[in-house]
Amino acid sequence: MLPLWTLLVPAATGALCYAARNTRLIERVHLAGSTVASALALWLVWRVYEEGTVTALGQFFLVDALGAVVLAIIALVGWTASLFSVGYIRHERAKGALDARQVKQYYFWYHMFVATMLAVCMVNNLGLLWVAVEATTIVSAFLVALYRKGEALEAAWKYLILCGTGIAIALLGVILLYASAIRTFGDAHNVHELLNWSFLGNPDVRLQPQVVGLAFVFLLVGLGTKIGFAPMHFWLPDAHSQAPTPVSALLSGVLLNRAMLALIRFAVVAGHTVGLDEIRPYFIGAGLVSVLFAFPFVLVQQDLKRMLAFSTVEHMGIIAVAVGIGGAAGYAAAMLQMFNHAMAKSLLFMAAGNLTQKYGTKQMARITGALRILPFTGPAALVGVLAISGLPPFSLFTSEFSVAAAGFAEGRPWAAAVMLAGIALIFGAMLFHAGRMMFGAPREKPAAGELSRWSTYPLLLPLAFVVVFGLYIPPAVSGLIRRAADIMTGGWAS
Amino acid sequence: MMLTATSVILVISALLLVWVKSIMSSIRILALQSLFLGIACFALGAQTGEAEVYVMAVLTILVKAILIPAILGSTMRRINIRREAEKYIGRGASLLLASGLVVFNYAVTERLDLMLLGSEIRTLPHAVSMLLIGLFVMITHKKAIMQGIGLIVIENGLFLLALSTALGMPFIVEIGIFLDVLVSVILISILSYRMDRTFRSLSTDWLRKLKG
Repeated sequence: MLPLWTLLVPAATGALCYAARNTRLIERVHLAGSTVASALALWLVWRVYEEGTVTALGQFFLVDALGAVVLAIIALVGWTASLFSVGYIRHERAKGALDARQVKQYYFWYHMFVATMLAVCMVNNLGLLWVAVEATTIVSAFLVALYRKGEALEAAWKYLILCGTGIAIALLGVILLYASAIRTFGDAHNVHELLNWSFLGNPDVRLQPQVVGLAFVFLLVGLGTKIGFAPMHFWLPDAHSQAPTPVSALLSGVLLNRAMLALIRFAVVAGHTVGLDEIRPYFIGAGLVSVLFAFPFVLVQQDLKRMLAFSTVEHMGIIAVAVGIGGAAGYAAAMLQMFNHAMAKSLLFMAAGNLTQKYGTKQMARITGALRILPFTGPAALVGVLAISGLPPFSLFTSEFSVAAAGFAEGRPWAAAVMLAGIALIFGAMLFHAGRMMFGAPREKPAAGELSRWSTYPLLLPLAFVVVFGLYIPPAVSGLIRRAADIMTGGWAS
Repeated sequence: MMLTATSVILVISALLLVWVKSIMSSIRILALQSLFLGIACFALGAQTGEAEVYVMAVLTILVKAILIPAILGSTMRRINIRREAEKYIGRGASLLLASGLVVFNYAVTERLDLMLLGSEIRTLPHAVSMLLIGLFVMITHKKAIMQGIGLIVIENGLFLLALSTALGMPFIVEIGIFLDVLVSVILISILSYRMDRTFRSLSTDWLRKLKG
């Protein structure tokens, strides 16, 4: 029953936050709820590590190693962002940017968002997986539109319409897959189980190649829109820059990985029928285009959060390249990259939240001398930028290096080389921006000093992961990642 | 057979959406389209005697033919804008283009070997037609709410396709899809309303600030 509780706790917390009368009470409920939800999710991950796949409610919920890795990401980032939210929302409230009702709505939707994202990595039925991915879009669109300014509405509208259309195209793929499963196995199996991952994920399930190929293309385009593959990423920088900052951290660090998880599951299913070698070039192509596409936009960007958003497009591209390279090493590198990127990017978004609240602007040109003005956030952001650009000894260096190494080992040196070139270019662009923000003479306006404890302490958790995972990866984590990679190579086996 | 007839009606009603002038009549056409879908679903239930199909028929009529048009309609009344659907291209040209898309689609999907999927899934070309018309409506219209309507047209097409595949997706999945559609329509209404308050217009021409 653990998966069910993991899902119910955030949903109940959201409802309680909405029912609560005063802000103080809402904050307490919010913190308690998110702590319990994250603890339950981590416990579930631990059980997957100890016992293997966990199922509940007669296989309605199914958490395998693949889902567990992504589940761990949301448990960690969701909790950190919930702590950070308290300070951030208080500041916005004090500034008058949000009123009491919006604060209430924020906490309500925050927990609904977490609940839908948890559902994505726990449902067995691939149709419900689609429903959950769509639900994450709708729920987070409410959060993107929280500030009722023109730009926020524009971003939410673009997000809803683009991702809604994308996900509808993905539904076409799901239906085709289901039709093919019924055509092939409809007589021998219970029709209602034919969309289950525990059935379709089996390596010996072979459907009709033509139909599955068609279905996969729809799924790639549809879910690719949600992942933010270039050139379907146009909603992404808008939504990331306009959402409240803790939500940006969730969008970038967690939400996109959910869509990636869904695409990986469908790719595994399709791979069993048409052969993984047929599918790999699509991932490599989408990934490389995203990495190269992101570079000019990172370079000329003036808005801090938009720059981070384009860096997310790049990193989703890297993960896709790693999946495309494949092999045990490539898949493990993909999962590791997913985890490391989530940590580093949530750190950066939260640091960016502090910077923008301190300086009162998102324009990078007007943020100078951050190292001196914000004695904790400044250095933390600098570490984050160095890490996200792939500099040793931080965690992303390890995972990006593994991706490249896997590329050379698996006979895809060109993919690895082009990807490394893209990373190097973006490294330069990010450092250029970071240098101007971090160093330089601070303007007189903001007095030195952090905003509050709520805005600094939460940064420590992702910061620790960014630093430690560069040097040492605990065996529990690497074990889980290896098993996730096994699922991607060999399919799901109970 | 019956599903094929329904799908032809659906495609024609979708094309009608491209033609009509006022948003209110677009909403009415959408309601009518969903009603047809519900009736087809009902007939399918009578044919097969599956209880779940009946439930889906009732849900389709309740949610898609009554509730969603009501929500969209009340939003339009609250906004009280000029009720004409503004477009980037004229009605004649857009109808011609949309019909061209449909013909092109039939020419392409005809080449798919649909027998692979069994005779029932012949609705695939019609579903793809509705997908294309829905996208076309979304691209050519200036008013935000029409983009939402385009989205529901796509959704209807996919529902039809799912219906012809072993009487729809597993029941719980269908329920989830209904819920998603309903909440997104509510969100579309809320956003349209707020956009109107903020920009004094529903035109997406105003949504031009975020670039690059």
